[in-house]
Amino acid sequence: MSMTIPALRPSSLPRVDAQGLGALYDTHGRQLFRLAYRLLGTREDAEDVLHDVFVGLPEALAHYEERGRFDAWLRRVTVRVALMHQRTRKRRREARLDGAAAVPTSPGLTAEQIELQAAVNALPAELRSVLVLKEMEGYSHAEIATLLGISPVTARVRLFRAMRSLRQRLEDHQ
Amino acid sequence: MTSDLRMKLKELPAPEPSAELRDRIRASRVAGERVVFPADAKRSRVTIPRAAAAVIAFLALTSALYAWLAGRDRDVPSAASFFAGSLLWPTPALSQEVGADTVGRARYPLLDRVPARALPTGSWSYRATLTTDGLVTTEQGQRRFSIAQTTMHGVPAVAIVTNGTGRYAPEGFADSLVVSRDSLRLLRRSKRYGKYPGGGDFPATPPRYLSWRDADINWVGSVYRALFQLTPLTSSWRGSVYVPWIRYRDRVSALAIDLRVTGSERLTLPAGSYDTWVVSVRFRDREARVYVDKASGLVVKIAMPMGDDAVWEQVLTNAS
Repeated sequence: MSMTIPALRPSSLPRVDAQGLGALYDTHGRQLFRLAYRLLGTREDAEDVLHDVFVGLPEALAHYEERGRFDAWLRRVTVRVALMHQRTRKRRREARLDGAAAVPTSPGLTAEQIELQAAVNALPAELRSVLVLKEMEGYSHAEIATLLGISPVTARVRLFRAMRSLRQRLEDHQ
Repeated sequence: MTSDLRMKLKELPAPEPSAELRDRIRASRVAGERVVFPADAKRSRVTIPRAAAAVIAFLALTSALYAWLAGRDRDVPSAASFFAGSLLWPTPALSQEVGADTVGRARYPLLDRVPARALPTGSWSYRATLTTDGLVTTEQGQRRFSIAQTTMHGVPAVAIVTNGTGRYAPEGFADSLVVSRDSLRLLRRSKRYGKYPGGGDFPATPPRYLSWRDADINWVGSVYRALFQLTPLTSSWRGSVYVPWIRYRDRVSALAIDLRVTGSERLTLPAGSYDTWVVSVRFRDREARVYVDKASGLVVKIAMPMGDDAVWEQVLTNAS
């Protein structure tokens, strides 16, 4: 079953019962999973985020006030949940002293793409978040600033650092 | 390369979620699991201005109270005290003693007087900037450094003057040192920071002469510029000095500064190209680099890291 919800008003949203939730998942699941995967770098973490987003969605929709596109709102929610997940994961990894970057495992990747994905995954979380949101997801610096609770200038600086680090790492591996 | 990298990032594929994720979500809902999302941005946008407004209101009240209290007694030291009174450097600094309130220890032999020789007259302009991560550059004001011949109480003298504006001194500042032309004996020091003047005349006895001991680390650095012009540098030149460091309104410490020529470099600046000595200036845990023109002894550039990701620079833009 496929369902498209372009800029629906809250009153026109489907009832979020089990069936409605499944419909929302079918419509937006892939896109949101890709977003979470890019932010977190592993399939497991991305699936955890997507699980939490859709499990929490019925209650969140009760308080949803439409200000723009529904899918944009859903993406913002996913980013926030992913960032929260990232912080929790960071604490866990620090405790385990396990800071190794995740190695991409997606089938069909070229050697160059594997290297690029590994380089992105190796970035510190605060840099990777800005890089993914700006360069891969198309958010503006102002939107990123709001999402991350930083200033737009800080977002620019982090993006600059991320790109510089990425280039250095890729050059080192050439 | 950047646009190419951006394109590759956009095209980077992501895997598909596993087939059982949909059922896992459904099962979690059926099992009664609930997730509360992090607070959304709309709420924090409201909270932050409220907190900021509270802080601003508190600061405004505190500031008003301070101004009222300060206004009751005009003898209360003002901000001018930070920059005035440079004639009265603390004894430990002048005598280069290590005391209880001395910060750091000198690494190299102590520097003292500079050779008494003619200072070239002229005027030089500098532009100050602060660059963060090589990305965001903010202007930090202009400086004009001048050396001119003058007389004081009938004594042929040289006036060494720096004035300009800064981000934190919109009303401008000036620092003047007058020394006798023949022996570089100190005659007068005067400073102005905004509307706050300070300074005075040096007594004739005992005489004091221009020395690295007078190179206070203030925000202007005019004495430094003159000292570098008078100090013959070589590739192995090094020396240390204890200078006064005004830490608080009523507290001045002696701070060890270590200077050493670390190399030479050819620089191209707005004012021209220069073969320079690179002088490392270390104090506490910080290090600035001063670039001194080999031919004239003129300081043509100063670079100082500010934290891990910013550099404050001052470069020569014009010489006349």
